[in-house]
Amino acid sequence: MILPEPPKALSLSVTDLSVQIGGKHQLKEISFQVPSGGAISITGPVNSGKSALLWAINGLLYEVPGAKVKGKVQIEHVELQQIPVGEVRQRVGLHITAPLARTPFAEVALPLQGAHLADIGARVEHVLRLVGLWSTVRNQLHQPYSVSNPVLLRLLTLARTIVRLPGILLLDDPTRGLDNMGRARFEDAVANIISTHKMTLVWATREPDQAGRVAETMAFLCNGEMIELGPTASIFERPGDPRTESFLTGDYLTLQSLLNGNNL
Amino acid sequence: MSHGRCATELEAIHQDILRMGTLVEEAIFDADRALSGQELLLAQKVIDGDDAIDDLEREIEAACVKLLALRRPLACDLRAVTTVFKVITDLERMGDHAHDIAAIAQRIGADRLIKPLIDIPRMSTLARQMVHESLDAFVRRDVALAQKVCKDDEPIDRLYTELYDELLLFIMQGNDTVRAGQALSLLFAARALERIADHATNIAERVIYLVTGTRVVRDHPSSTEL
Repeated sequence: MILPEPPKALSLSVTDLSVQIGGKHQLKEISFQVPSGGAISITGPVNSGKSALLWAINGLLYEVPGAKVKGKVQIEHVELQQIPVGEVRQRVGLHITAPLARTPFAEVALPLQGAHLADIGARVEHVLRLVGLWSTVRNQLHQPYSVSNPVLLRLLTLARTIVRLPGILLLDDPTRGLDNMGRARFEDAVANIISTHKMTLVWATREPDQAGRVAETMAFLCNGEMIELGPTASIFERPGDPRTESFLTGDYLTLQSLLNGNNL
Repeated sequence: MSHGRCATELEAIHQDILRMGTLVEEAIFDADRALSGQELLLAQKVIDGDDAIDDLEREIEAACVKLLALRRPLACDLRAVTTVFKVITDLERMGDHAHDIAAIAQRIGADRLIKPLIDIPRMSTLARQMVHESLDAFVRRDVALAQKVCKDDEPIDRLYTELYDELLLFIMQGNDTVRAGQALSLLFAARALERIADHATNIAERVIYLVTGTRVVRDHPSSTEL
């Protein structure tokens, strides 16, 4: 192991990260740091590069055919490419919402295959409790579950993401399509997880309201550029760029004209 | 103001603030004429008119709360709503001060004035101009004009200090309690005008915050400590 063993929050540093896929710029010279145990929200409109950024931090982007990645991602001051892929997957958890197994237990325990863990059952129960699902699924752990229940699916996949207690948790617009209650439940689950295990959190969201709730630091991305980075409350009150201003106020006509004017 | 999700509501709130500002300017103008010209009917008009100013304050406040609840304004829209909350409080207080001046005019009634009023109408004109320009700066998001308003507070403070010294002599030297009482009343009226100018300065400072996002920190209190 190059990185500290779990459970331990890991610091993250992104320096001049540029990504091109199929000749198109997805990210342009992105730089930011999150201290160990810190939290940042990545906000921006659709196609602003939020997902590409999370995929780059998790190392998945290096495996995408035709993707050119420049710049550095460092976990605990170690360059990502110097860390074995298996270790990155274990220590940097990217929340994927797709179901991969038929029963709640199999879903959550999936990443534990091959892990040297004495009591898998206890770990599954622990993370299901953390995401607030234990009482719901404890009697149906080994029965097929309904993937058409979006809140259940999001929380189960969240439990799956954290079952190996990653040091960094990456969330990619994880509550899209959920109603108010589902969104609140998911946000509560994440708050519970990071307060229990002190994970470093990177939460991408297209909703400014959510950015304000989940992290005191935010970055605003637009067309692959990081337009602003700083305390969420300050940016919400006094954005330093007209593109941020337009996004936050919902002034899409001005945002469009600003983006077209810049030939982005 | 953006063209975003709060644009229509903020425009309506702006119009209401201008209406409120017009009423306040009128009230200051009438209160001064009621006092200096001893026009008692005008004094009653100012006193009766204060309710309309208070009503508008409540209406605008309700519109702002609704906007916060339904639209969750951010960035310049957030600054606009918080500014409006402060501006309407300042305007309402100005209305109260005009009301106070009108009440003083009624108290003096038709009694002979102890001196021809020169500085009070001068203060009133300056204060009214500050109110007008502060609201103009608010509507036009004009930082330069707002900064001018902040500076314009000084001459009013100076006039007030001079008037204070002058009226204090009336109060201390004379044996006539009626004259001393009138001097005291006029001092209160001058103080009300000085406070109106302070409220206009507050609005101007909020305009600077609204446009630049920077809160104005005063080096010294703008109101005189007398």
